[in-house]
Amino acid sequence: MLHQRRFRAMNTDVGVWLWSTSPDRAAVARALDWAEAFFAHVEDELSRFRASSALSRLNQAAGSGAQTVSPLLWTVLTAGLQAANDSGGIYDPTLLRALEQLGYDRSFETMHGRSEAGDGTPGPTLGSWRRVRLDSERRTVSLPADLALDFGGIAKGWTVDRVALELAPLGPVLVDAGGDLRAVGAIDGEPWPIAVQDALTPERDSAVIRLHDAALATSSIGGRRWQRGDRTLHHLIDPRTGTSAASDLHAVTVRAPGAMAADVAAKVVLVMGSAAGPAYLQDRGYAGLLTCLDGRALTVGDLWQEEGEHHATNQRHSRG
Amino acid sequence: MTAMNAESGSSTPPRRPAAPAARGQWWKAWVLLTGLGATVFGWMALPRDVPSTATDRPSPQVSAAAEAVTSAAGPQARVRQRPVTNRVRTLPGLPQKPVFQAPITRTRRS
Repeated sequence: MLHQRRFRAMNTDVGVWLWSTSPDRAAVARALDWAEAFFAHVEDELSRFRASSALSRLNQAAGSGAQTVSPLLWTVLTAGLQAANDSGGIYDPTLLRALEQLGYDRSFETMHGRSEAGDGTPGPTLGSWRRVRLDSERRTVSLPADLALDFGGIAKGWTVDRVALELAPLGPVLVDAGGDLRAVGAIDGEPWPIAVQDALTPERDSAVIRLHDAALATSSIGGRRWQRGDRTLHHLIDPRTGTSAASDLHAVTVRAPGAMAADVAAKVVLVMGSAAGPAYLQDRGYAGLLTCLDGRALTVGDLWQEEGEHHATNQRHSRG
Repeated sequence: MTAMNAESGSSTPPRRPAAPAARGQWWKAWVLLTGLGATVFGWMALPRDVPSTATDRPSPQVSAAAEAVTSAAGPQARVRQRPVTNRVRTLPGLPQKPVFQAPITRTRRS
């Protein structure tokens, strides 16, 4: 039987689908309860929009020396710093101050598409993640006074991965948090069909991906955008410039083994652009769909996992 | 003849008239035999549960499900297993496989 649970968390819609043949339905219900509670717990701990969260307390203590953090915050922070290292600093969990200076200083829904907060002129921040000091024995974190953490790029994917792997012993499972999704297992070998949102016409779907033991995530500059004076800004910061990325890409969907990896890769490729982005995916064995600002779409790797068809080394121009 | 008859008659014990109780057993035997015959005839007249054509065969899923049920019930259940026929359409208590006729969810930009 396919069990389903839907709820709101992390300011998005979350869905969990679990196929279980166990007659113990109470155990399945408990597992889904746990999944929902775990999403809420991570949000409580790691949201930058909650003043009482562990992340907010750590940011408020920047410049005050070593702070002991929870195991959850420690785990996600070290994963984020690892991702920063792997991406050459293009992904960086320490860009919160730059985001705030650009006006993204509160939940996006309350900005109403415009913000004049901050001075609007953050400088380049490439490599700032290296200034975070960790003490793994004491589980403490030291932040410089001008640095603050934001896990917006990985916390959701990390949670999706964790829930999917936790529920997997009960049966094939699919976890979807606002489009960051991961499938573990398949029902009688039948992959999970996932529609791919059209990047330029969000109400339409452009294709269907059949997902099996893999994850998908999409990053786009079309969602969280706002006006600041006569400038249009978005939430994906290029640390090389310290402002909203200005590549030739509008949206990137990445298929990777895990949701956090897919989420990070989608952001990195979107910042890199269509020239350097495909190599980043290919080097890691990921696949992707890159939609350019001019409407062209590039497929990198075996995004659709079609049997007998391999285009891991080719870019397929499927539009325009 | 007379003598022989007389000898025969003298060597053969006189036939004793059946007792009223013994006479009462014959109708019971008749009823038993008739019942047995009817049972055998009825059994032979029953249709055999043997698939006759390819279309009569159960789907692999049904066969697998039936096998799973008997395996779960243990070896004794396996001995009593009846041939799986096309009459086996559903097995109560087994979960239904979802049919993905449409995407279950969709990617969304973030």
